[in-house]
Amino acid sequence: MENKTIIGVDLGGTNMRAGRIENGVIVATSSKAVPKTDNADEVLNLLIDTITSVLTDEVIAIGVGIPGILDKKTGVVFDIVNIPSWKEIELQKELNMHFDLPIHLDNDANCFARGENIFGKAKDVENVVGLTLGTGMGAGVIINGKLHSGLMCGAGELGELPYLNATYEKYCSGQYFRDICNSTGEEEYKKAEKGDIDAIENFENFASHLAKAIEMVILTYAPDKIVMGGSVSKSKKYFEKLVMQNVTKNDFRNVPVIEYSELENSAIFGAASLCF
Amino acid sequence: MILKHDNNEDAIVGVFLGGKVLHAGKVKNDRIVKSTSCTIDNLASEEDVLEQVIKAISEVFDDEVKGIGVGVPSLVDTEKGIVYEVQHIPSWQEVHLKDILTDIYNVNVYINNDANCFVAGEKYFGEAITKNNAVGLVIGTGLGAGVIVDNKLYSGNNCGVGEIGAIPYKEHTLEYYVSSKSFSVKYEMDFETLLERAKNGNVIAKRIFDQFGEEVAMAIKTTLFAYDPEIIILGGSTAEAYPFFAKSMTDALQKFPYKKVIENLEIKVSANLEMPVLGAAALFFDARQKKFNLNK
Repeated sequence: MENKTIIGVDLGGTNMRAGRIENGVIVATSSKAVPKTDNADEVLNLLIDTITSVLTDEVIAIGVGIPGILDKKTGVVFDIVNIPSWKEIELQKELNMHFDLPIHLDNDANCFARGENIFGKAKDVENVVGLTLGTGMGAGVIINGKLHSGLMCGAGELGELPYLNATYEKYCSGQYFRDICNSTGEEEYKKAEKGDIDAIENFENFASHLAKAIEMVILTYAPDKIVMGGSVSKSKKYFEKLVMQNVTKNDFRNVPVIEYSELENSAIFGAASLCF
Repeated sequence: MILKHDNNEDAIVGVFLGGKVLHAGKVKNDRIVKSTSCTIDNLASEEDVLEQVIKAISEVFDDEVKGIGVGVPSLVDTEKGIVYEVQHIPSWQEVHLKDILTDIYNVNVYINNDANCFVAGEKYFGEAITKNNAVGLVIGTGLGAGVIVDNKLYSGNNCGVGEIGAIPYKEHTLEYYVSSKSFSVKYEMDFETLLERAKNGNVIAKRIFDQFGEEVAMAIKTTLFAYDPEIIILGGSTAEAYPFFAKSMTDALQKFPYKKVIENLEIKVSANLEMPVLGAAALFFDARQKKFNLNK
């Protein structure tokens, strides 16, 4: 397995990134911003460009992580949360025609969880939830050492559940900093680093919301371990401890080990691991 | 692949301990061949309740019985077979049921919570026989989900999977709105009375069930976002009112953001009143299936 050359693609709501993996190491990457457009082909062509720029003759398969709902049997991608132009795209077929290689698709959060399960913080753990806090919030679920994608890869879309006046996703992802703090996670992190009290308080509030989402994950999946990832998790030093305090303070049953991803490009690794 | 039912001639005793009611049956070749039901004194001491359980099991137990499965509405340590804080039986705070029953009957004993038994029963004897991934939603006094993944019961850490009733929702938790209790709390009328009135055409009762259907849809959406199964089977006492809440539930589900998930989903109501007993017996087959997978 390790000596095969494969490409892993992380199609996030903000960026698309492709990486070529040789001998278990990423040797080349390419990254492009997802265009804000109504034109589905424009997004597709950009994706093909991104993949092409890391493609070599040695590549034997491509795995792609998708931010939404897809049918793994037919390779059709349906609603995608942050790419409104993609309504029903035959992605597997399109990529197959273009690259003439086996194409494997799964939900991006599932890819993240799988990457952690194979390369990261959750190696050899049987029941794992990977929680991604990026543009949106998603959960990838490993049950008995296997990815549980669900019928339409919709398992783990817990971020869509109602919370306060909106959804968990709104309060537990980059959307919190964008829509409620009128800022960005990155900006708030920079401010917090300079000792800005408002920014630090924003992270404290974020921690209390995130703790609620984690409680919900425990109630639904009762995992042995939760691994956190996504762009927002990089600011963990401002909320990690508070999250744990909140989750444990109500004598909440079944609190699993909670860790934060340290794997660079774990989504790319995860997407690539779909090829095996 | 699921282990084919070729060994279901094994006789298993299934026991359902639902507070005041106790059902026990000997299950063989997918059928209950001998059964007993009784009302128990749920307020009695730990030993007295245990005695009543043992008496019922002994009525259906015989030499060909290979195992005993017990479904209990409580927290369960499935490995050790310990039940904690059993609903409606205050004296049962921590009962080592597996050890006790193994000592008496000298067969393998399996204990699990009611929602897990329910979905295991549907997997082996009911609506989910041909499905790899299924969820059983038990909407009774409380709300719980039993989850089948890859043909096997998925209980998780401390049997904690599927506690969706405890998820915060509106002012309370999901269970507050989606359970038989919700009727007494919101309308000061118990579920049975309301169902009777709805059957007699009472408009207010019907409207109450319409509203209930919308809340049930929320429980189903939660199930879909969490597990995305092939089939959801509704069980528990409120399932009897399905004809009255099906339409508003279905309408509310149309607002689910992922249309394809709704299009492909099957929702069924448990058709078999013997499912609590069959489900408890199914714990035996689930354990065998897991062993089979390990040895593969």
